[in-house]
Amino acid sequence: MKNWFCILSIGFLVVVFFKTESFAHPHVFINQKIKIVFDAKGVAGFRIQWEFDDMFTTMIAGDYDINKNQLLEKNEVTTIKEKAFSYLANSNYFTFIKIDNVPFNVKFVQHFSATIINKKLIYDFFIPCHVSASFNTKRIIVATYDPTYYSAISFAEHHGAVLDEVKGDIERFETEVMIQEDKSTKIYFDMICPTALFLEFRLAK
Amino acid sequence: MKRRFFFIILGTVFCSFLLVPCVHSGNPFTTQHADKKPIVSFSKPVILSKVFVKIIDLQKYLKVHMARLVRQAETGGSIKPIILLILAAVLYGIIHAAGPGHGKAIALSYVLTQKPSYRQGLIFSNTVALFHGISGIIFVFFIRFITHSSIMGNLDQYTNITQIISYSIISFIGAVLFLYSFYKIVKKNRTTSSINSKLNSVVPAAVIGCIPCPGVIVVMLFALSMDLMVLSLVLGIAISIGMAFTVSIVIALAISGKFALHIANEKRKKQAVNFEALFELFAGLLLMILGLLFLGATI
Repeated sequence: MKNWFCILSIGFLVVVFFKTESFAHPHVFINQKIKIVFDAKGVAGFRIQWEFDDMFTTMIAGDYDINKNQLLEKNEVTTIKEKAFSYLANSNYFTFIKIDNVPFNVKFVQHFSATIINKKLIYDFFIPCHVSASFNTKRIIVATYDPTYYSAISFAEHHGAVLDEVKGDIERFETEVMIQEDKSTKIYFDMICPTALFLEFRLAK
Repeated sequence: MKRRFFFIILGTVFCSFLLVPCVHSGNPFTTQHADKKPIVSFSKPVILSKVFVKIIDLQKYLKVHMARLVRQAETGGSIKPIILLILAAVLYGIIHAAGPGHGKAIALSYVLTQKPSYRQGLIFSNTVALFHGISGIIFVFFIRFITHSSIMGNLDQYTNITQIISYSIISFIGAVLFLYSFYKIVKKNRTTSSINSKLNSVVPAAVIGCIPCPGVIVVMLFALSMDLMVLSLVLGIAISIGMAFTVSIVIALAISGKFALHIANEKRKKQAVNFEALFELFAGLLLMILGLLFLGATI
């Protein structure tokens, strides 16, 4: 009996470890805040803020804060954008949006900035995603995850998702916002359901 | 019945290899990758997913606390944060190596083709883990104090080079094991001796482990950013020790299983020798395929 237990434990170990061998596990931890930006017609896009862990901050600052003043000047931000952000275009900027269950590809972002606040690196950028409101409810899911799982992204405990407006009147819309696991999306060998922003909105009656 | 069990496990190992997808696991922030499709393949048991999520949460927790303790150590005045930091680093190494990677799979497949004693297995697994950590330590000091160049850009490049070298050698070792096992079967040399005596196990273990561990590098860089060079080295070593502990458990379990298999089939010695010969043949082939798959994904 003991022998079979040992053999089965090998089988289990082999399955567990072999399946996942070639993949990265998270080395970077990101706290995220999303601002849902409305304009006069409806949703204009999402302003994403990523706050990186201390250690990744040190790596980026070590390489790109050239004058080591713990502040990122314009030229340093440009370098960071080029060398430590723009490659994410291949990964949808880790932002996977579905509008009424139809995927929306994030092809570009706007207004990128990088700052160091309280010894934490913060990336801030805007994803344009225009969805006009109607009297029918529209549903948008914004799941943020690194497909390779090199980075683990979680929503900030406070103000993880907030509404914002640009030249619009947010009271024109009825909105409902939730942050929860997106059970329809499974990543990393189906082991992880990413946490996602669920937005429902329509014109107020 | 026992034979059926054996083949189920052999089949599981084989299927596991076939399902191993090839993905380069570099830093997505600093490296261009063509294919970034979500990793979706098959359903894991729920309990396993939960364990995995716990491992990730614990790593995040430990990293936050390690960062806090390094800052406390920087201010000086007390030994307490340093002791806690070293303990946290060992624990981080244990947890970190429990996740995917760190040469466990290749180390397992290598051990399964051999008949190491517990002592040999522990030497093998510790060499894998310690070289994994030490290569990270060497990388950090080399880049930081000799070339004074970009850590992140060089990490991807350095990892890529060591992966190519490591996977090439692993493929070669796999080929040698396969051909040797094939030769034994053809020549009807069905003794239970393995090629282990001919290959020094420390060498392949060092090869497997020579890919630098990003976990070690990140923590060391953080301490170095505060000019804590000695502490950075101590943390690198502490994490490596933690990783060695985890890899050792995995390898020890594998060796136990192999011993159990051997004992179970002792009464039917001839069949046992046949099974083992086939096992070694398969494992050698699969080790070679795994090495080539990883190499293909890296180049």
